[in-house]
Amino acid sequence: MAAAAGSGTPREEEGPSGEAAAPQPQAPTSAPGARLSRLPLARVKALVKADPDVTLAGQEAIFILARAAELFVETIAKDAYCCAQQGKRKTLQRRDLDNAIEAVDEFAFLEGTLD
Amino acid sequence: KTQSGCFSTYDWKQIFVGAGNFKPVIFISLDTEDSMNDHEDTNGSKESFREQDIYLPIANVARIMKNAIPQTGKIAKDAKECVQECVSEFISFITSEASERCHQEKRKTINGEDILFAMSTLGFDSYVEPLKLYLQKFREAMKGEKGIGGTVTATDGLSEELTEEAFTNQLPAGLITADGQQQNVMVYTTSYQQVKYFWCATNSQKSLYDSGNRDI
Repeated sequence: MAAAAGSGTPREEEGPSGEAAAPQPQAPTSAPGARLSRLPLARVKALVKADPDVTLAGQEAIFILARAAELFVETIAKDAYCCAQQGKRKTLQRRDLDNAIEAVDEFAFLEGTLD
Repeated sequence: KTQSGCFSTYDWKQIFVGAGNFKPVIFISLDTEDSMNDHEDTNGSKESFREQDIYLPIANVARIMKNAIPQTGKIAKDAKECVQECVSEFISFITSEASERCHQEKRKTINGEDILFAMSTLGFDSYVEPLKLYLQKFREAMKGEKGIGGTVTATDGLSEELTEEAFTNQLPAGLITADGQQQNVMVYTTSYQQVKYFWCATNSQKSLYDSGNRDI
């Protein structure tokens, strides 16, 4: 690719005043549709393309998947945390996830995938 | 003095930019690999080309988990890793179903509707409405930008990477050193993403370049 000065202006200007400032994702809330996904699209894309049956995936598909993955993480974390609370713990542990996977129908696909 | 760090050599290209030894320049990596984003994982490039080995960065996953539980809650490390694996499973699961439907309808490209349909079929019906809203916002945002979103291929998505990745990637902190007058620039790229821009700061000046890919 030819180097071109100034091409592709980034949305987030980084103004390093002697230090690199990371462009922090905004908004800690996860209100649906409120903001962009907090997961790297390229990685999601890599996962999708790693599937041998997949030929092409549209941009929209990747976006939705990234957001869906976020929702999934939230859901499973919440469910698992309930298990932790039942065990009078404040730390979410691996066994809480195992319990959540067993308890929730949607997570049945995860059974047997974890050692 | 050379800036150095611990990187996974797999898939990495190291590019020196800024010829002068005494020009302070700044390092930026736009790479989406988690090794730069998460100190727990600096060496552990979980990058591989096998489906089961590709994970989303643990820092991102952990952050989302944290926001989902009460503030006083903590998360064990193996729980984070577990969810990390589960997310990859989830994505593959949905993708597989969507891909099947796509083939059945003799289409080559998986689109948003396929994903939504797969969600619904696989029991994630509750996600569909929020995702539709999200899709709507995305479509509105894209309308003004560059027309309808097209097909993503391995080499595609330059401007998409610039906008989306700019939000979701954290630039590595602490890689800029102000020791003496001398700093080196290293620009890293992987096969998944090319570096689109980097900062070159001489004294207080800043300029923006598109570096492309340059091998030494």
